[in-house]
Formats: sequence, C-alpha cells, structure tokens
Amino acid sequence: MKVDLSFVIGGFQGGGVESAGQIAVRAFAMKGHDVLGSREYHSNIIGAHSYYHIRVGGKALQMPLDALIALDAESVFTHFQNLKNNGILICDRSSLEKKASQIPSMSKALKKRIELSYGDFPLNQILEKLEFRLIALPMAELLKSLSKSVEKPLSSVSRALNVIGTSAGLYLLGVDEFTIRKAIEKQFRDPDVNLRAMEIAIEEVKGEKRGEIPSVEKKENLIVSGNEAVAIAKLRSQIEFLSFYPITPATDEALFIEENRGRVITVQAEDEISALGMALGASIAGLRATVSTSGPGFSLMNEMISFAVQAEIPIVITLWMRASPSTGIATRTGQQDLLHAIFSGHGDAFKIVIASGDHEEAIEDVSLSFKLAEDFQMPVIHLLDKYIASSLTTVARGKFEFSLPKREFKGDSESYQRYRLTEDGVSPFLPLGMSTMIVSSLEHDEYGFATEDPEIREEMMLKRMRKFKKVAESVSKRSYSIYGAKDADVTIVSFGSTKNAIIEAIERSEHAAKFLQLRVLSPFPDISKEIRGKVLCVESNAGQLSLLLKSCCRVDSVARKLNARPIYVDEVLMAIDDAMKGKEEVILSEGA
Amino acid sequence: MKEPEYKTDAWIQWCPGCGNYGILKALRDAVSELKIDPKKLVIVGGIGCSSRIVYYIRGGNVHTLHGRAIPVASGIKLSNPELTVIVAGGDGDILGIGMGHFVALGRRNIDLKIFIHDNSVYGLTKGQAGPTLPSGVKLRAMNYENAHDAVNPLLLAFASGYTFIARAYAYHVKELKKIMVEAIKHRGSAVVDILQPCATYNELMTKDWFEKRVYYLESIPGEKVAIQKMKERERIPLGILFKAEKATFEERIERFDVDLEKVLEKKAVLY
Repeated sequence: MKVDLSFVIGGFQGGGVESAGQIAVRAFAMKGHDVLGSREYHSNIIGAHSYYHIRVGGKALQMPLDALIALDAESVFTHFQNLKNNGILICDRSSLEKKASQIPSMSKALKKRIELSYGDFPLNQILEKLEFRLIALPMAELLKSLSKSVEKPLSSVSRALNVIGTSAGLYLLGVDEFTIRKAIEKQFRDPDVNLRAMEIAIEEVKGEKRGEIPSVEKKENLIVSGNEAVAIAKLRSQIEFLSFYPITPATDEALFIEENRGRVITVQAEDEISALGMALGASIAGLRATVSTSGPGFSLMNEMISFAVQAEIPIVITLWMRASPSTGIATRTGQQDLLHAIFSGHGDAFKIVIASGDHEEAIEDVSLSFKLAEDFQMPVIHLLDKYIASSLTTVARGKFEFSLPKREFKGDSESYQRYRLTEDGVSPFLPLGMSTMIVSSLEHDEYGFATEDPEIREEMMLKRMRKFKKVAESVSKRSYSIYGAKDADVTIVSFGSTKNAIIEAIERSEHAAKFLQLRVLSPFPDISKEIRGKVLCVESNAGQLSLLLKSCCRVDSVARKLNARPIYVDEVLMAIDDAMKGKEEVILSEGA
Repeated sequence: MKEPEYKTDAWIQWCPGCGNYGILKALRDAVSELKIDPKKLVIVGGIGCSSRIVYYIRGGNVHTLHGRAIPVASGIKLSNPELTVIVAGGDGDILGIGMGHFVALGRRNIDLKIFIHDNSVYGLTKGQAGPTLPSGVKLRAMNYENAHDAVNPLLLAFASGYTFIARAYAYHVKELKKIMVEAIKHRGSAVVDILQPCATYNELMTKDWFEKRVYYLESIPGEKVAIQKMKERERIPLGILFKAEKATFEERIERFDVDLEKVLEKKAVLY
C-alpha cells in the first residue's frame, strides 16, 4: 500500500514546533517511508508563527493538506485554507473561540485576507461552513490531567502541548502507538512527561476513525537536515579549515562542523570578507578550506572571489540562497543568487558553480566541489537554498561512506613558478612553506611577479581561459541529469531544490514531459540537443535561468515562484498544463 | 651554511626619497639577523605603494587586496604556525579600508606582525588624505583641507588588545630593525607604526619635519605612561610602548579527536 500524506504542524516559535516536526518525521521514517519535513519560520526568536510541512510517500511538498495539527489559533488561521475537504484539523478547543483580529502576532495582511473571505468571526463560526474533520482537543483539561499524573505543576508540563497535539495527529493518521513512543524517546533526554502526554493524547482520540500506516522495507537510516548533510559531507571530505560569519540559513552548517570539528580549524570571522580571506590564506598554506554563507554575505565575498580566480586559489564556497534582494526575508527560500553566483567577482572571474537538487545530491556535490577546486585551483560555488538547508529527510548512511584523500604536494621547490604556463592552464601547486614564491592578485608572470606587459597579460588570460575550458570537459558528463519521457511534448528545465517536485510532477502529468536538471551552472552547459517539445523553465526567482537558457535554446514558458516559499508538486503540474496551453508566463503562489 | 639571499631581481618602483626604502632595508636586515629561512617567511601585502614590498624580499609572499592582508595572513598563520607571517600595508590600507580586520586581529592575538607604512597619504592614487593625516591640513594634491580627524594607530591598537605596540621611523634603519626583530620575536599580535615621509605627496610631514619631532623612549613604559606617550602630538616618541603576555588565538582553540561514526549515530532513525 502506497502511503501519500501531506500535513502541517504549526505553532508559535519557541512553542515546541521544532521537536514536534522532528518527532513526526522520525515516526514515518521508522515505518520505512520516504519523508520530508520542511521547516518554515520567521526571523524572530520567540512568538511568531512557525510550522513544519511534512510529506510522506514522496520527497517533495504537495498541496492541499491531508491534515493540520494546529498548536495555536494562529496556525488554524494560517493553514485551514490549504486543508482538503474532509481533511483532519486537530486543534485546541479554546482556539475555536478566537477571532483573527484577536491574535497580535498574526500579520495584518493575513487578517485582512481572512476578513475579506470569511469576515472577522471566531474560528468555530468560520469552520462551520467548511467540511473538515474537526478534532478539538480540550487542551487545558488534558494538561491538567498530565500535571496531576506526573505530579508536577501545570506551568512545568504545559510545554508538552506540542507532544499532545502531535501524538494525537500521528495516531489519527495511522501511526501506531509503539512507533510514536519510540520517536518521542529519541527526541527528549528525559522523555517521561512527554511519554505520559502522548498516552493522554491517544486516550483522548481513541475511537476516532484512523488511517493506516503500514511498515515498509527500511532502506534509509539517517535523518538529516540539508545543513547537516553538507556539514557531515565536508567532515568526510577531510576539510581542515572553516571560517564563517553568522548568517541565516548557513550558520547551522558551520556550527555543526564547529561542534564536531576535531582537528579542523574553525574561526568565526568579523565579517564575510574576512571569512573568505582567512580560508584563502589557509588554502594557500595547503589546507583544504571552505566557507559557507548566504546572499548578503556572498555579496561581501565578491572581491575575494575575484582574488581567488586571479591568484588561482582552490576554495569551496557553500552558498545557501534565501529570499532577497538585500536583507529580503532571511528565513525563507529562493533561487535568486544564480546569476550573482555565476558572475560574482569583477573581471573575467571564471569559476565553477554547482547546484544540488536535494540532500543526497548535496552530499555528493560537496566532495566533487573540493576535487574540482583543487584540480583546477579556482573557486567552486556550491549553490543550495534555505528550503534544503532546513528540511529534514532520510538519507542512506552509505551516502556518507566516502573519504577524500588530503591534499598532497610534490614538485620542484627550487625556482618554483606558482603560475607556470602549461598546456591545460593548470600550474603545479606548492603550498607556502615548501618553496619561495609569490601569490598575487595583480597580473603576474609565471613566478608571480607583478607585470603590465601586454604579451604576458595575454598569455595569463589565455592560461586561465584554457583552465576553464578544461573544467567544461571534465564536468561535461555530469552537468545535467535527464528524467522522464524520451519523446516529450514538453521539456522542463530547472536547477536546485525544485528537482523532486518536478520529477514527481512529470510522473503524474497527463502530458509526456521530460526534465533537464542542470547541475553545473558554470561553465553553463549547452542543452540544445536535449530539447523536445515546448521548453518550460521553472525557478524561484524572476527568471534568471531562462535568461541563461536563451543562450542555447528557445524558452516557451517561464514558471516563477516569487513568494519565498518552496515549489510544490501540484504547482509544477499546473505549470505544465499552462505551458501546453501556450501560456508564456506563470506565477506559482502556493504556500503559507 | 650560506647566508640566505633576501633580495629579488625585481626593479624597485618607489619614488626617490620614499620612506619605503628604509623600511625595506630594515626588514631585510631583521629577517637576516633572525636567520629566517626565506621558504618559511611570508610577507602578506594589501594594496598600495607599501605592499609592493612583497616583490622585493625573497619569501613565500602573498599580494592580496586593499585592506585584506590581515584576514589572509590570519588564515596562513593558523594553518602553518611554523611560518613567520608579516603584514605590510599603508595607513590607508590597514587603518582605512581594513580597520575592521585590524581591530579583530587585536582581539584574537594571532601571532602576526603588522608593519604599518604610515605616511598619511594615499600615494598610489596620487595624494588623497590618509587616515593618519591631521584635520585641517591641505596637501598639494588635495582639493580642500582635510575634514577628518586623524586616527591614532597606537591607541586603537591598545584598545583592540594588541600585545606588542611600537612606533618607529623609516629612516632610522638600525632602530627600526631592532624594533622589527623584537616584534617578530614577540608571541602574539604585534603592531609597529612606522612613520615615513611620502616625498611626492606629503609636503608637510617631511624628513625634516619628522626628525625635528621624534625622540626615543629609554625603556618600555608602564601602561599609564604608555597611554600618555601614545597621545603625544607635538613631539613623537619612538620605541616599544606596550608589551604584554597573553594566550594567542592558536592556543585558545581547542583541538581534539572526533569519531565521525558516533556523530552519524546521533542522526540514526533507529527502527
């Protein structure tokens, strides 16, 4: 039996949504199902609405929702319009008396939209007109009985509200009590109160109609966020130096490495210029070095990227894109740094840009990035986004079973030429300490001495261009992946985290569709020979990829997501239909 | 063993009368006295006349970006503590565009030597006011009198936590070399503010101007006196003004063994 579920657990930031989401993801993972838990939160420490959108039976998000577990009234107001007819709505009974206008943390815009559609009425009056399976838990009473049962004051057990809501929800969706118990035990250091909370919740909903979640063959055995997946892959790749400046959504990757650094040198720099500067220094000294950042920090790194190109320094920059321009929305997703990444740094700053579609690809791409950076002595920008950064999913442990040998250096240390002219443009690399040399940001001769001579300048430009051509040859076989029908009526072209939504959509679409997932964006691949039927470009920005595509093929339709939320499977299905109807521009607007 | 050769065959492109010649001579003498193997010597330059020094002394040298020598040098030193890492930059480079890094380095006390070639002008861009130029001064290439007050490199270094603070004068090559040697031998972040005339663009702070004002401290003063000395304007005290022992950043970062398998275990689904 194929399980296919999409549901949300919502509450206020600091109210246990994080643990609730992790418990739910773990419970379904324990049953052996594909699961993805996407975390949405505000740039706020406590009080604002946050939620987990969880998909079971697939690794892409899907609307509408089968269930909504609302830990507070704001969560009901925020998500009930995404709930299916007959979908399960689990909430606190007291939430039902609340009007949108009574919730201070809720955005004025959302209040206004609700008032326009439903009027400013208490939830129970609004919900009356809708066909949901309403499970209104008497939360105050349940917490009281929990307090009594564990002999602790009400104030100290009221945090367990998240476990009560989540346990009731999971149980109604069909997860067995044993599995929920195990997931809770794994979540908390001292799980006793929460286990009792779970029992009380299940007792309360026993007798209600339940779904069924069978156990299936278990193949993937780790649960990781995108940040963690990349951090672990970097440790596996034997990085030796990491510098960073705190920025959402990149910090969690750096902090995971810092926590488990062992002998890796980690430095919190004073800004992103310094972060990349230090890492470049480490790389010149022979260490495997890396930084991670997001759009605003990447902007600061630009001059250093140009330096790394000119001075031929290997470096891996992990760029976790978020909604921009400027500070934008720090905690929401987007793919708006594609062109910035490719064209970062002044001058003819040739660099490699790789984009991963999901956690597993991100793991592979980490070691590939280091390999390319070191083989070709240039920056590699590994492009990811907030959606991947903060979503949890299952990954086979075997994916982390790799190791990249440490950097090794051999060569003539007498009269060493850092920039020796070679056929492929790559000069032998010796680190500082092994020879005298000059590493220079100025145009230089083979030894690194500054020069303005026209012939040497031209030779050095051609050397760097040869190197980049060599990169293109080296990555040609992996620069894009192809999915779907051979003789398609529509070819979707996209990159990054849209991958799984598009793969699922082309499987479900009534049109014969094909998907080209671009994995190497610089050097940009020529995909013209792969195009069949209409060309539909899907991306979470104003149309950056479509601009690039026009350099090698036509683009018939562009589906853009601009609301800083991930792209959902059903949105891609709609975009395919629209493209087939000849619509040139589509805006995808789902998500709360 | 043969004396290592520290000279390179690059043509030195500073103007006649430039203070950088004195600094270059003193630095070559200092590394020679300390018998630093050129392979283990790293001079990291920013951008400006001063930073060209990376081409004039044999070492494993790095010419970085304007204001960014300190971050790059920090990464190098942390990665290979065997290296002697010296940062060369002008006052515009280190105290103007790079000031944030200058302050951050003091807080870290990484074992780096910062030699500020301090001539109060941006020479290579032809004579704009540098961060150490007093307010009200109009030099020949400037359109108006300087509307900025001067930054005091020594007080800034003190406030930032540098553990070795000295001032020297470019044309007193022997004394400068001595201070450089002490700075290199010091364990931690050391700064030497090297006053130098810019013969082309600074017609106020000339050789004569400096030599009328400078005098040497007899010994390293106590903290209170040091701060007064750092503030002095009419006369200019030279020498080591402050020296302290403090753990370096290298010593502050704990390194340990980690078992990645155990880290992965924490992420296991557990069926």
